[in-house]
Order: sequence, then C-alpha cells, then structure tokens
Amino acid sequence: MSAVAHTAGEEIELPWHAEPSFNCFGCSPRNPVGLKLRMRRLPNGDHAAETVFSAEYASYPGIVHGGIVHVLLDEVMGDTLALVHGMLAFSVTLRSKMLLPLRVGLRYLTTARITGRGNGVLHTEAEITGPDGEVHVMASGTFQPIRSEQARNLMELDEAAFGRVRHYFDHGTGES
Amino acid sequence: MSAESTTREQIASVTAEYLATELKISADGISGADVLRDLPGADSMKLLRVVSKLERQWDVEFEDEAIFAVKTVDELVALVEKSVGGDLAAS
Repeated sequence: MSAVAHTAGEEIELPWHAEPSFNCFGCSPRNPVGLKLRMRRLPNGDHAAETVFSAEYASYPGIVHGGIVHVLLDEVMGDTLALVHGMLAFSVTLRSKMLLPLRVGLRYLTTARITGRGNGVLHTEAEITGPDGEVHVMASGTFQPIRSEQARNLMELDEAAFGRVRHYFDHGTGES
Repeated sequence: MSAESTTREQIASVTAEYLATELKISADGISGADVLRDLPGADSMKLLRVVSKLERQWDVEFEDEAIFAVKTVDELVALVEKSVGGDLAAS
C-alpha cells in the first residue's frame, strides 16, 4: 500500500507524528505494517487522503478487503477532527454503504468533513471515490473526544509522553 | 433538515431530486408508482447511493432489509417518512 500525492490541495504534516509513542496503524510513518496515510486539505475545506492498495490488503483476488476500507474511513474522519479541532477522539459509530468494491492497484481518494456536534459527540462523513470519479463508499461517523483520564487508563503513556500530548484531550464538543 | 419541518411532499421532492441527479433524468418525469429499477439508467449501485444521500439528508439509518424491500418511488418515500417519524400526514 502506498499513499500518493496527486490531489490538489495542501499536504498537511500531522503534528502528532513527532510523538514517538504514537504508532497509529492508519497514519504513522513509522508503523511498518500500517497504511501511512498522508492527509491533504482540499480547496473546498474537506480533508482527504489518496491511497493505492497492494495485494497484501486484498480479500478476494484483486479486491481490497472491506475491513481495510473501514480503517481508511475511520482514519480519515478521525484525522479530520484532530486537524480541525486539535482533539483526539474515539470512534463510537461508523456507518457505511459499500456501493462498489475497491480494486487493488488503483488510486482512490477518501474525503471527509465534520457535519455536526452535540451531546458530547461529533459527527463526520466521508466518501471514497475511484479513478473514474465514481463514489465507491459513503460513510458517516460519530466520535467522542478522549478525556485525559481515559488516555491515562488506556494508552500506556508515561508521564513525559502524556505531558507532550495532553493538549489533545479534554476538548468539549462546543455545544451549549 | 429537521423532522419537525419535514412534510411528505418535501420528502417526495428531495427523493425525486436525488433520483434525477443520480440517474441524469428529469425529476418531473418521475412518478410515485414508478419501479425504481425500471427508471432510465437505474442500477443497484446508483439506487443505493440515493438511499445513502437520503440517510444523510435526514440523519437516519434504514434497516438493510427494508432498503432492499423497496420497489417503487412511493415505497422509498414511505421508508424515509417512517424513519423521520412524526405525524407527517397532519403537517
């Protein structure tokens, strides 16, 4: 799998890449089996990642595995929240409509945006578009901002690492 | 669009608009009794894309079996209406 940089828009350096304790399967450039996604901000304000999956990510011959497709959706929607609001969040609900299969070796663009917030969660949506311009997957996600207490309990961060990333936690969702 | 402000006519109008956009046909030519799969240019992927847009429009999620049970435009409108909830007939 490789990320390619042909999409219009500004490529974004993910600020958490500098944190050595983060080894995200979706976005870390240091995870040897990860997707190494690279995010871009598109002129319309959406955030996006381009991908080409190799046969290592297949289900049926030549078809990208559906679980990997959902990693892609989850990651691009979650990264969008992190980039727009400076918060890290857990996905609570992912919904998808798999309209067309993704094929190994072809370039796909996954675009995402934030669509709303309320009652402690944020809402996002995303699409995966193929090289022919056809929408292959439509998805929506609900995310809950991570509290520092959760991070301490779940993330196995030492005090120094926690101090470096604590600004990503305890964000409200902004609703009244 | 909130459920409170939604009428059956609005649901029917948006449904026809999404179908027309997806199938590249005129919304005026779509009637409630039309069988979705018989509409010009219709295929399962395009119809599922319309369903996804309707779910997003009203922030609802249809049961998969209910989606695949829908045959006509009117039945699709009724599915949305049921999911949006409320007594739309009175609005």
